[in-house]
Amino acid sequence: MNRRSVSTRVRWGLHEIVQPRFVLNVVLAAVLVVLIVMPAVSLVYRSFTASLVDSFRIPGVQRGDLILHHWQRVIVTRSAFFVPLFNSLLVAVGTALVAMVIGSALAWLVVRTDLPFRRSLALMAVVPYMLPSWALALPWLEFFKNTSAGRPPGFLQVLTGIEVPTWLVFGPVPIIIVMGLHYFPFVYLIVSSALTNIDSQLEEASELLGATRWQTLRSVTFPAIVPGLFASLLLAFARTIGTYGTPALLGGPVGFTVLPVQIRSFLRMNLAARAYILSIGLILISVVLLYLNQRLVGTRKSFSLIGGKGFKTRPVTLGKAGPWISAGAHVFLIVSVILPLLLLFWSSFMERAGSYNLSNFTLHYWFGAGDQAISAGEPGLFRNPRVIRGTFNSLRIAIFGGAICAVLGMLIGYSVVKGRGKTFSQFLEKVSFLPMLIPSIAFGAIYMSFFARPIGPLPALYGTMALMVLLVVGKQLPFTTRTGISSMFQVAGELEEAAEISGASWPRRFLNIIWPLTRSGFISGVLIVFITTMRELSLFILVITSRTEVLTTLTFSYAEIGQQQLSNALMTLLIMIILIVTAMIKLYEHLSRRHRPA
Amino acid sequence: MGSIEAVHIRNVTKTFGSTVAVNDVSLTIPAGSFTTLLGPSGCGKTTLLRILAGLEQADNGQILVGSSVIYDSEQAINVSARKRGIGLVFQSYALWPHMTVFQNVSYGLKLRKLSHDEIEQRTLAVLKTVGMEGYEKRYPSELSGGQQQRVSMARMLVVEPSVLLMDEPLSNLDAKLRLNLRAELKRVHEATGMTIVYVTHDQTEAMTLSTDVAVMNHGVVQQWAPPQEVYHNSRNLFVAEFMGTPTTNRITGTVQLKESRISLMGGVASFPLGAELQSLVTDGETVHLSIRPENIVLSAQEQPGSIPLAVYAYLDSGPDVHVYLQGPDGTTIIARDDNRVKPGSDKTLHVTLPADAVRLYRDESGDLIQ
Ligand SMILES: Nc1ncnc2c1ncn2[C@@H]1O[C@H](COP(=O)(O)OP(=O)(O)OP(=O)(O)O)[C@@H](O)[C@H]1O
Ligand SMILES: [Mg+2]
Repeated sequence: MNRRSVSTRVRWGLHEIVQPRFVLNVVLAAVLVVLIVMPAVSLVYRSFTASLVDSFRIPGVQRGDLILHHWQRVIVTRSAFFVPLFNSLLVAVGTALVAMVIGSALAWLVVRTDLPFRRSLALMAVVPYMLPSWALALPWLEFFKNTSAGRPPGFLQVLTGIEVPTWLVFGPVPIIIVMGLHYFPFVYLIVSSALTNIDSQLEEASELLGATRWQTLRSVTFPAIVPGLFASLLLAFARTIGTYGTPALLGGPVGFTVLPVQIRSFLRMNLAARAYILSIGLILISVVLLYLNQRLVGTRKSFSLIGGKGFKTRPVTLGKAGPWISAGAHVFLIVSVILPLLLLFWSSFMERAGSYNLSNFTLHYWFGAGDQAISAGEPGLFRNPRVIRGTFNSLRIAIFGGAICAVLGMLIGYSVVKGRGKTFSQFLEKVSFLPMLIPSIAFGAIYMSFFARPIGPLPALYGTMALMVLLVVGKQLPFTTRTGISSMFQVAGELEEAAEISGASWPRRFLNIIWPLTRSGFISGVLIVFITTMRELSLFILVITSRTEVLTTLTFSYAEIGQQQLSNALMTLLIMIILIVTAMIKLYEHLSRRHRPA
Repeated sequence: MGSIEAVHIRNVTKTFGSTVAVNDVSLTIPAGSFTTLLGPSGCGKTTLLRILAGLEQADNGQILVGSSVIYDSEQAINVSARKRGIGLVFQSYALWPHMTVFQNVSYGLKLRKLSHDEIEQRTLAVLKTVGMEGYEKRYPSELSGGQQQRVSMARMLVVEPSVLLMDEPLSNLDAKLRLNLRAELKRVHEATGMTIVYVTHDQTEAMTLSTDVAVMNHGVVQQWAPPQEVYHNSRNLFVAEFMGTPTTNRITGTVQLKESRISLMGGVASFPLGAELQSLVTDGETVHLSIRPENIVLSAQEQPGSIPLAVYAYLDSGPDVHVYLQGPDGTTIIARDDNRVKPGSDKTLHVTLPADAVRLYRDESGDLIQ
């Protein structure tokens, strides 16, 4: 090999580069460089770059110069970074704790006990996670709003006359509660899978030795799920810290600012560099959290070995307390998940805010034509051009984003599996997972920094639907790649090789073998991206323009300018779309599992 | 395609990172032979097969099927797997789960754009050859392991490759089915006359099926010969000890040229050193004497040149008896004794090592002294 002649080496090289797999690898690598690597580099670069505005404000600085100015300002101005950082951490810690308490308690009840009606609890427990993370912020306001600042009163005040203190309406407390209620399903899912993996013989052994149920829970069950708990805590924390909607709605009016909110206001103040700096900060925090989680997952594996042979689960009997606990848990979930959504729905039929009587009933916000007397002339949803355009935009972005992202995920999965261990495929695998480390709002900032101006032959994409689709593709790539890799693992090995040996060309193999066997993974990839995109706000909020508005950003902007009923109606619509599509996904998964000749 | 060809493998090497999976292998697999690659796990058998099939690319060397070059590192020739006319039966069967038995088997024919009738007729014929007629409409998940194995064989046979490779095709089956399919394989080989390269680490399988055996270790072919030759005239200690269950007996000794003998077991026993070997060894050299259990002669009385050894286990399995004996220095010897000689009250048997059944190996290289 070492003494091969130059011409032989050239000929081998030519051999290599006409292989379909090689071409595919090169194309995929180029796509990832443009979608992920270059935007990320540009974020850092732009944080040091002087803008046109800077060139007027700072003496001796030309547009495009590299300057430290913004980094210095961010560090020395308390309100620019440290205050939002502190607020973000406060909210994230609080949210993670609330989510952990609710999520793990529910998980234990559903997985490890003989609680009556566990299944309905399990069903309700995952609902909040399917909704936009700020879905509960709207009914929260609707319910608790007080009249202190000249606003119309909320449901509670109308009903009982009680005016709750402002700290319960706005600021960290409601933010933590609302986000905790959104993120607990996340903890619930992780902890319930950890609990499923504990051998109940361990618990029985403890009881045989005379431990009470509480002692057993504390000394056997709990230690076994600690890593799972911790991991879910970290992940909930990481997600919370990049979330925009709830903190903006419930913090903004009292000047309580978190990092994502500050990022957006810097961008609006034409201080893009500072927005990028904060985004870098957010990314670093997220990287640290996910790194810690990675370390934990390593140790968690050893816990799941606890099961082994003779694995068996026997539920803990709750006895007489069972029905009471079950009732309590149901009431809790109904009050915190179902009723708020009903209130949201109901309020969208109320002509004037602050009154919940039937006499105030109107279909205006759903079907009405523009009327200057109501909500500044905005027509009802179904006749509102902004809403109609937003709906189409949402659907288009979600469908195209989902399809492109799933195709890329499959192809990357193929390359990774086929070239296992080779440099190229390792590059593809690692890079496609990077967006996982980047909070949505920061991902938006990254794309702002990169695609806002022309790049080579590519025109400036700011304000185009293409940019929105790219955002979705880039951000969701880790998930579709993961699905792609796992479905290719079963197919791209010997099953494909057998077809190759039989004489099938690469396109034929893809068509006859790979596609039929990975199709269901592909379709669920499309659907999952679709559903996540429909409820996504943080990812889009920075790059949105009036032409590219989507349902979520529209809902948010109505809420922001105080068009409550419209935004409530729109949120209801959004939730209905999401629930219907989710039901379709479940149905599809169910059917495709049944028909698969496994 | 269709004709029966020999395979020439020349100096083929393949490394994965720092692992040398196949190390400078040269073999000629005669046309129509049933050649088995035999060796312990990880010795590079699968890698060599995949290189032959074109699924893996060797780093170096040359491969010919008949007179056509399918791989040559110097001339940068690498015929793709789909054009080599070589079939491969995977250890995992790799049947396509979304296709019926008929679709699986006829796939290769469809690609060759044959007429509908011919496809049907050839598919049914090959299914008959492997004893799977009547199963055309089943999905692979509705077949037993042995049936899946037959279908995966049919899928490769149907296109009449010039060479058929099989990677441990029977290893996932239970012992009884394995015996049946072994006979089946032999029949298919005789019926088709195809060149078959067969991978296994089961040496009984290799012995019973093959016309040639290539024993591999650490990516190197240790010996390549007909199975009886490999068994009776193992070229080195590795081959000698790999072949046979229970394994061959290895007795270490020292050459004593003056007495024309090899002193064994710390001097309590000795073995005469034949005249033709005396020039090949040096005085005082350590050598290993190998004798297979079935060649040891046991008797209750002392015989000329016999060694008295203590019996410490006597295992009677019905058809044959294995006697475990121990020398004074701890050397263990296993003998298969068809005459069922019983030890006397002193628990001792007299062991004779017939000179024509004993092979001598060098200590450092492990090579046969001959
Ligand atoms: N794709 C690969 N990447 C890295 N190393 C490999 C790869 N394939 C094989 N090897 C290594 O090459 C060596 C030979 O592997 P091979 O699969 O050929 O062994 P084998 O003789 O078929 O073993 P077995 O009897 O267990 O099937 C092993 O050390 C294996 O770990
Ligand atoms: Mg193998």
